[in-house]
Amino acid sequence: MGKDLASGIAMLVISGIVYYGATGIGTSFMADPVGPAGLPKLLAVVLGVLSLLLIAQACIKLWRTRDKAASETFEKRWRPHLLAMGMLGIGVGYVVIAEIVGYMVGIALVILATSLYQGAARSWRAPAIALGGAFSFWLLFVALLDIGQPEGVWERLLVSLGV
Amino acid sequence: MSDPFSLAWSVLTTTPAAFAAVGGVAWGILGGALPGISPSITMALLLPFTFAMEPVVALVLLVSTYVGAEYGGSIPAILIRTPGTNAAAATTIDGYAMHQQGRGGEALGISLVAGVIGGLFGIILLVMLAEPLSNVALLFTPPAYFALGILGLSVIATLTEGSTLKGFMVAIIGLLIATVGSDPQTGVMRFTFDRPELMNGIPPIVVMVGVFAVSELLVQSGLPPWQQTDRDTRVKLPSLRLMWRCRRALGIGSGIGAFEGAMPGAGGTIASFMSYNEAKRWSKTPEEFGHGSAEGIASPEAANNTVTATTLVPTFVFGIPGSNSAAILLAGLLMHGLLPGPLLFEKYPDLVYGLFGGLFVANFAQLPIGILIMTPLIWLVNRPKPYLLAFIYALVLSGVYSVDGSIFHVALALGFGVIGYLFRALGFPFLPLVLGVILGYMVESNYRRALQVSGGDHGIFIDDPVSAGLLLTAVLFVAISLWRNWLHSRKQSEVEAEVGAG
Repeated sequence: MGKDLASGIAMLVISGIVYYGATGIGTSFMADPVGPAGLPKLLAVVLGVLSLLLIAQACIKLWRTRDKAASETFEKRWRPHLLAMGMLGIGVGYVVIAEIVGYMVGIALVILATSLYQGAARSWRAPAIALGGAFSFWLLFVALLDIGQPEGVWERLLVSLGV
Repeated sequence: MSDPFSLAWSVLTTTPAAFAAVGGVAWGILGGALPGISPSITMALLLPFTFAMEPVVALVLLVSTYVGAEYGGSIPAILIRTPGTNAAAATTIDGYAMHQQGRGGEALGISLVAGVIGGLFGIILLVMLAEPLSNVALLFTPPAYFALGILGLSVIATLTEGSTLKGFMVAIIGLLIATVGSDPQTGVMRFTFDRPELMNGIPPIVVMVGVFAVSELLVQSGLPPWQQTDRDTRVKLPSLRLMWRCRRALGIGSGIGAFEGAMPGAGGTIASFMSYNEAKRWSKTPEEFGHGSAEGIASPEAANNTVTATTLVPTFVFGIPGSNSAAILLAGLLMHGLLPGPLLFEKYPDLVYGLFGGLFVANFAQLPIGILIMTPLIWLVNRPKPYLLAFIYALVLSGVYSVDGSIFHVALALGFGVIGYLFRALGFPFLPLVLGVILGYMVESNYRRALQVSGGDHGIFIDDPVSAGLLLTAVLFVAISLWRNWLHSRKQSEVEAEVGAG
């Protein structure tokens, strides 16, 4: 299936979901002629129409190029996407653990995981750089610039104990 | 009110704006020198940290980053034939040829000086044009503001790379994202799924960091390591005689950069390629182009640095950013509760002229910083890619959290990173999405306000002359773009048919 056809179908589904979601938006006695649901509904309809146009365009294109088979192997085509998903997984991992282990440990794990995932040598250097990097980030943002970062269970416990 | 020069001087001497200009240029050169990290990504990485800063300092920092990144992009273009930014692609042709002849330092020097000249020319135009043009915006009523938003979205959707249809779809997604949260007129919640973090809407900053920075990290994770840069190169400033010889190329670059910068959707890349071609056409030695011509570096570099200043004209006057980097600047402005247009010049002249002053300092600072930073910069960009990506990822995650201390927003930025990644993979442009998010509130509130005035009659958008003119321009833009696309696809089909027959 062509990229445009897939994205056209996905956009059509999104427009349907948005329209359905917009029908559930409440009303208010202060409502104007358009109302809070007016624009989302209108945008969903326009998105739906444009999606149908994209689907039609993609179908014509596919029909014209029907004899040309894709030459890329599955491995070559999907490998970058799989690598990207792994990278995303590291970020999701940070979201899950940041408020448990705290900023410094969380960011050290992000640096360590990302560098190893991207092919850094498995030696003492990787954890050392991760720890040094996390400390530098903490020093710069939390200690020097006073920019709030996630607090871990231990930090919250110490705060609640008044330490 | 004091005169603009006194205001700029006062801001530069009483706030840390001058330091921000210097720091921004250094950060920009570093970001620009990393292949794949564009000026907008370099700015997006910085954007969350500017949240707590004084507005003028934050904006000077962002705009100086943009200035530095445009020069930074030419460093790998000259040394490893890989442009650090899209706009530096034209510099690769003669810059790398000069480097192969052992004149890499000279090429970097020409790029640096040409950038400073182009940047200063752009600032002069910016100061001359911005305030008078902003007075035009005084004629704007709610229907006209709505029409302006539609025109901005139409121009960006039609002029950005790729299909016009996809550009419009992405713009609509952006407008839909802007509807999340409490309805500005009635307070009714929309698409919040009972999450308190969504009640105030999705901050544009989260969307930008996601689609620019996170998606770039995801793309970079699947690409091979960056080429190592030559460690021994030092910047060698060109002689006055050489720069005099390049005067025509510099003039062409600055002129095209000024025009393209002020046009929404054009940006530095088109400007640098156009000026390269024009400089070659008007050169006395066109045969040198492609073989290490100084003019071939001076012209595109002057052009892309002129753009950094003139792109602020549509951004500050009408709130329509012409490029990704200008969109981030606009987000920086809105983040501090400031709205573009004539009121900005009337109510906050110190901010506007302080910013212009900061831009001036940034352009001058580029010269010494560009020379001094070279050795540590080359050391830094030669670090192994896995560690560089790891530190950029840590910076992104720390930055998004610092906006308002919400881990939910970090998750949201990752989600927008996936959307950005999918958009890249499927050939959808980014800028209409970002513009939709930024302009969403302006478009919706003015649309509804206008209809409230007219009692629901859409004729108000035609009766208002400014609104009618802007909407007509939008329609013309779309029609011309569709016609151009149709011509292009017909030509492509003809070529395919010829190839098939051959």
